[in-house]
Amino acid sequence: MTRRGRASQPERTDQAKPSAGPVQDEAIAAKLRMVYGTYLNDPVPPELEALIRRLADQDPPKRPDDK
Amino acid sequence: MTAMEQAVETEAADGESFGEALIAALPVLRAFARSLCGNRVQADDLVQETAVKALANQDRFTPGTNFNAWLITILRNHFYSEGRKRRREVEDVDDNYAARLYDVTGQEGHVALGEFVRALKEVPDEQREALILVGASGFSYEEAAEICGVRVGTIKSRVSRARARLSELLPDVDTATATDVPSHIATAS
Repeated sequence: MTRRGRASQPERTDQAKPSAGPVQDEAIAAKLRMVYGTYLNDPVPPELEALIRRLADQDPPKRPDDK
Repeated sequence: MTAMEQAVETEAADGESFGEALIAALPVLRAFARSLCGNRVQADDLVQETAVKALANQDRFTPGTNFNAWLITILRNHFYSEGRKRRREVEDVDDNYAARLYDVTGQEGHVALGEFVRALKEVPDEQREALILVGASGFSYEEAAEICGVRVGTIKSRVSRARARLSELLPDVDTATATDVPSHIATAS
């Protein structure tokens, strides 16, 4: 059995491909901002906020001077 | 400064309690968590766990530094250490959330946006988070690198690969609406 050398094989094949073009890049960027903006504008569930507020109240803030 | 930039740069200001700052950061944390895990219920669980950890480690936060970046670092670390294990077990009820919302507003074709959300999920986690941090959350490459604990070049590479993957998945992305961002989103971007 011959030893298969790895040196002749390409190291990686998942290199980033060239951009599809500025127009498509901008279209993707715009869609990304739309999706993220939708998530960002989704109102925080009151129960989640109340829970975290309760946890914060139970755990009063510490300052370095308090140590 | 836009609303999103303000949100990103929210810091635990002097006189504002840690808890108040944490609550103010919830929209940003939830948006990032949703982008990361693609599931609304799990995202809120992730945010809750992040809040618990942040409160327990609040003395480790350095005042004057980016509070949201600190929180997002906690969130992503928790996601990769714990959340991802459970992720596949949770039924995805959020797949077309964004699409449905846009369908209601009537400002964007729900099919196109739903397709984008699904394509985004096909992008590997680490590439998707880099793209979200830089392309949507408003963090610099340097900040994103610090959040992810990698070099700046790695973040640039991940962002590039994420864009390329999306271009592959969405060869016919609707370029006609590329700049037609609804006003309520545009103000937050």
